[in-house]
Amino acid sequence: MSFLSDADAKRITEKVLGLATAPETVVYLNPSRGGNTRFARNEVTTSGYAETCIVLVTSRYGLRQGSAQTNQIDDGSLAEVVRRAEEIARLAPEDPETMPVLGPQTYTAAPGLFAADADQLTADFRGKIVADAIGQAKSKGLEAAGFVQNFSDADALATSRGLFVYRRTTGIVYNITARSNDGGSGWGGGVSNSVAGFEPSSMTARAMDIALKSAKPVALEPGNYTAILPAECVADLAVNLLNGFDQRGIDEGRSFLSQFQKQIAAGEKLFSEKVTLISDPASREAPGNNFDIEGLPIHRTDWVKDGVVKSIACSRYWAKKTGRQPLPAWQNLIMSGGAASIDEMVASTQRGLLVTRFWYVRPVDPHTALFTGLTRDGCFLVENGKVTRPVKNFRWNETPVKMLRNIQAMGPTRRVITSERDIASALAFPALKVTDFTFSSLSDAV
Amino acid sequence: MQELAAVALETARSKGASYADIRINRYKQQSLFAREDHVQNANAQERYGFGVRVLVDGVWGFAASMQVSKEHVARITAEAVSIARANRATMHDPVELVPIPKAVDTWQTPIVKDPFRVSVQTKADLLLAMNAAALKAGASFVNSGVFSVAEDKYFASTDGCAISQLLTRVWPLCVVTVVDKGTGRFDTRAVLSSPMGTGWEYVESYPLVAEAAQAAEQCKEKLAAKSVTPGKKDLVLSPENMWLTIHESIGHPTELDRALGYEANFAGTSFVTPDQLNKLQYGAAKWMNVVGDKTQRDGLATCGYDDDGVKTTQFDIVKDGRFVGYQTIREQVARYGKSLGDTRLKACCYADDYSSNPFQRMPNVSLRPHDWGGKKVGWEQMVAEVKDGVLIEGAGSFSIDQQRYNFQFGGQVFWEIKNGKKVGMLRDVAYQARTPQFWGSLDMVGSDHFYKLGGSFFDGKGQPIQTNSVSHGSSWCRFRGVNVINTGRKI
Repeated sequence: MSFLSDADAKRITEKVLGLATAPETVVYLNPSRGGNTRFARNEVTTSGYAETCIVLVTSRYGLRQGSAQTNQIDDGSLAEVVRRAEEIARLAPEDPETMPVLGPQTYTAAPGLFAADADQLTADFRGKIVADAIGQAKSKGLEAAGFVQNFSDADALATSRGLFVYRRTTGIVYNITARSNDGGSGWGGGVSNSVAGFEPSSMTARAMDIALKSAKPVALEPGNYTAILPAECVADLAVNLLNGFDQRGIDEGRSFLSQFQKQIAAGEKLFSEKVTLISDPASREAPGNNFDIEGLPIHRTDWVKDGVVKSIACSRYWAKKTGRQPLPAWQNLIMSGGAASIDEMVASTQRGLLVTRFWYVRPVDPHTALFTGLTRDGCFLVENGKVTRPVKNFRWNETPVKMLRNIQAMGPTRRVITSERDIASALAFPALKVTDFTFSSLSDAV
Repeated sequence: MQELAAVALETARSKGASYADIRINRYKQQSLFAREDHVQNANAQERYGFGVRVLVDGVWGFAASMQVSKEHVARITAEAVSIARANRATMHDPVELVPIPKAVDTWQTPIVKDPFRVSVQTKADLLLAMNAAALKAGASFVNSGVFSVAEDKYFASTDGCAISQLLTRVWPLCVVTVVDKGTGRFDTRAVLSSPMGTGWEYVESYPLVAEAAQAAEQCKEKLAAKSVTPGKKDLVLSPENMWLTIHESIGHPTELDRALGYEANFAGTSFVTPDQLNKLQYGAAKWMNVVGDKTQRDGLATCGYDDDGVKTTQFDIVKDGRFVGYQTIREQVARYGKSLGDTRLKACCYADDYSSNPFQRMPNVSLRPHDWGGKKVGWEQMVAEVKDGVLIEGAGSFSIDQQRYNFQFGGQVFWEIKNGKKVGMLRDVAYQARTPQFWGSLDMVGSDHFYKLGGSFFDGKGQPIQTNSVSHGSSWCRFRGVNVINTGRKI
């Protein structure tokens, strides 16, 4: 695709703004290209390449607002998308929450988002990763299924008040599930913005190792156990928790944090003092977007520091209404870690469960931030400081509030993907050993 | 359109493809949302582009672009061929396709009123009327919205197919929140409308405003309700709850790609393994008959032809409680049809975008109502025979394992049943079960008078993840001795 450059983006957004007749206009441009290869049953199944684009135009007439989106960038299509946005805006009832479009802003640099070595990857690049995985699976008598994806895109945002901001992002994601014919299953995966430092072979090795070790699992009674949770599991729950860090929701009484408003105001700890959670576009571990869909800058934000809630996201409208500063919601999340390895966590555990990853995590009760989900691809019993046997999977019902209060040990922070998001993940978390995690019923799934 | 298709098919052939197809599609989506007394986010989206799929030496290649011209079609087709060639080394069973009838046809969702011709003002008025009714009835907050979707699709293949289709879907929705300032607790209740494969007439026919008021009333009642005592209880489930349970515990496990391991890395596999075909007693023989049907009126997955160019059909999945048929696509019939003893084409191939690779997706999967000889049988007859149970309306929290054994579902409204009577509302309810035991405990299915379609606009599967819209029909159902848990916690 030939219009990913800064100059191309500027030319297209200026053309859109030039076509606009509404008093205020915002244009967001997102061209992208990417490829993917899937494999299963130890062979490639599908593979593809796609070029896509988003041109999103938002028009405002006072408090009336409308938006229209196309994926075409020829002159006729751009004129049409502006016309449609303005038509919808004129017809829409007034929205008192409409905020003026932003003028020029100052942004934190996020140099880690783009890497030239990941800009133009081909099916051959992905094919080598897949061939290695399939070769290893066959040699170990396992069956592998997995996915490799790469993308390169640009995000540009311009407004009728003179804002223009642009960034490039590249990404590679890989994940693999290896299964044995006697009930074993293992998983490995990761994501990176660059090819340099991205090591799919270690992810493949992890999946194979767990698959072999988790064969012939036995049923264990559900109940509350000490849980050793890899960074992927911690991210799965923490991401859901942070979605409740919304000032309006708290003020309106419909966030799990609403019940803690006094403690938050008093600077009291809500979580273990070991918990520090931040967003930072400039992070090396998990670079994050540096502007949101309105063009609002995203700077380093400490959400939780030493167990104390320090910041809460607040929309521009709610900030104006309540006399606060606007703060965009998180785009990347980094949790500070410790030095304990998984082996050390196991060694210090009398009786507990070592988990590989979570699956199908869904909210149950927003009042208590209660979620349910399952373990998957390897669950092990730990007894007297040793992993003693693979056990069948569990459904759990737990709140991340409790998980972040019951921390006994922390591993080093590393970049992860969560169970149902991959390519867009900008998350770095530590493994945790936590007490009293609620495993509520057995699952026979492998 | 035909000229662009000819470029793709000819380029593919000349570069050695044994089969090729092109989809040139335009997608339109209009959405409007409102909270309390004002409308937010009036939006109209349009996407246009093409995707070319080729088979070279039995290996798939796929490429797509939004730059729709002969030049780009030729370039992208060549890219698809080169991708197929890059993957030859890791292929051991070449893909084959069973012959299909050459289809040159058009099809469109039968609609009465095109939702794209309904004005923004009419839509805004509807949302604000729902919100006003809910607020008047005591809602603290209310969010409503309406989606209109159209897929204008053209499919052409080297088999000689040339198919134009126009699919239309709508979805009105409304969620009411009540905050109890005394206790600090809050809860929600959604209006039980569903996304549907229809025109605007569904939105007009559903009593949205009246139900928004009822939702607010019931949400207040729910906040003050008794917390459920956990244990084994009988369940009486409404069609609006059943659709999601059918989707997760029958729809997904009976997809052949999952059963064979093609989705093992993400969505998962299935407990319904191929050796179980025609053997597995999925559920109660007297009550359980499940069909896959992409021809069902108003169904979200309903269309004339799938994205393999195969004419859509209805087929049995569970008959008299026994598992009798997988959902399949064309290439699976060639590879697995004979060994499974099921070579019928079921037309379950779908891609959610021009830029997405077509693969197996769920048709509308529904539980047939029981034939009561014209007698009207619904929740009242079911409740009358329950000593200790819960009646659940609407779908809520949902989660199921990767082989579709262990599930946990909630709902919107829960009623306690004691000694044959619906006695009062409950809260903190979820039911958790193992799929075969759950369906084995089915002991009553209502009549067709209560049969309704529910469904999902955004069912996810595949990598990269694709969404599918799919409906599930059911009447009221009763299950005996299901594990009910209490989801209440303190933090």
